[in-house]
Amino acid sequence: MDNRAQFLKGVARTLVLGLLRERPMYGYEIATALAARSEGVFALGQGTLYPLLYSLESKRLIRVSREEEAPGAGRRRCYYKLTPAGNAELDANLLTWDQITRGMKLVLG
Amino acid sequence: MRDAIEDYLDQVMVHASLAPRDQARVRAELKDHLAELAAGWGGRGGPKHSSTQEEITAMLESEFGEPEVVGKGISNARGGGRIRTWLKKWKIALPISVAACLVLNFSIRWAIAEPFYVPGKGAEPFIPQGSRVLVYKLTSVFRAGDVVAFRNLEGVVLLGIVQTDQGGVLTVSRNGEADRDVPHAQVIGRVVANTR
Repeated sequence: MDNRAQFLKGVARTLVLGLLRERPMYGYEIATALAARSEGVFALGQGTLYPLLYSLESKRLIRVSREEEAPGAGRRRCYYKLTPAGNAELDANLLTWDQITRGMKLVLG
Repeated sequence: MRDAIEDYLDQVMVHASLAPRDQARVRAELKDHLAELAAGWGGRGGPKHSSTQEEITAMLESEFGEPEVVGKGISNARGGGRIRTWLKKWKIALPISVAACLVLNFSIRWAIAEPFYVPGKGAEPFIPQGSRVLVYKLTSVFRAGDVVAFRNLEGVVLLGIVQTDQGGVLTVSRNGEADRDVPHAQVIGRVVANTR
């Protein structure tokens, strides 16, 4: 794994929690939103998203519910939602991120 | 198109080694994702129709990831409960520590101290019938009144009370028996603890 992939893996948790704070999403939606909104910077192998989602789920930071895409659409999808614990985790991560970027800017100019 | 996705999923699921209750959900979820990925492929420069199975498989591997990597990632993330995670972590260390414990156990029993069950009344009232005693083996000095364990000529383990220790031979008494001489070589050790 190159440097960049290592780094992305570290921030992906926070990004996913951040996306889910806006609204519940399903896997494909999260992957495309990450890639599109970051202009391709976070176009990580989409398969790596699921280990991340399942690990967040097992830590009860997000929770999954199978819901119909639209009422009466017939197709059910796994939507992920932020839990209160996930919300708190995201706040803590964002605070850490703020401190790190501020510190790096101060050091590197 | 369906076949390439199913094949890909099969490979992922093999490496994911999930509990049966998780399998259906994960498979359905990944399948939805792959179907959307394949459907959107045309818009991203891939051929919409008439793609060969190989082309689709190659696309899935480059966009979604190697099935082995994805499967193992999912396996690590879901873990299948704490016990399985713990076992995985200890996969190599566990048998080694169990073996080390067994070796240690038997070495201690062989060289230092060994428990025995007492079926007879030879050493009453000090050691009542039915006791379990711990025999300390690293001792070579015996005093009158010590309770010792020894093997008789048939190899049966007996307890007795030391009367005297002279020139490497103990004179040992047992209830209802004549005092007998037991060479040090036949002595197992001194009783240091008993359960009653």
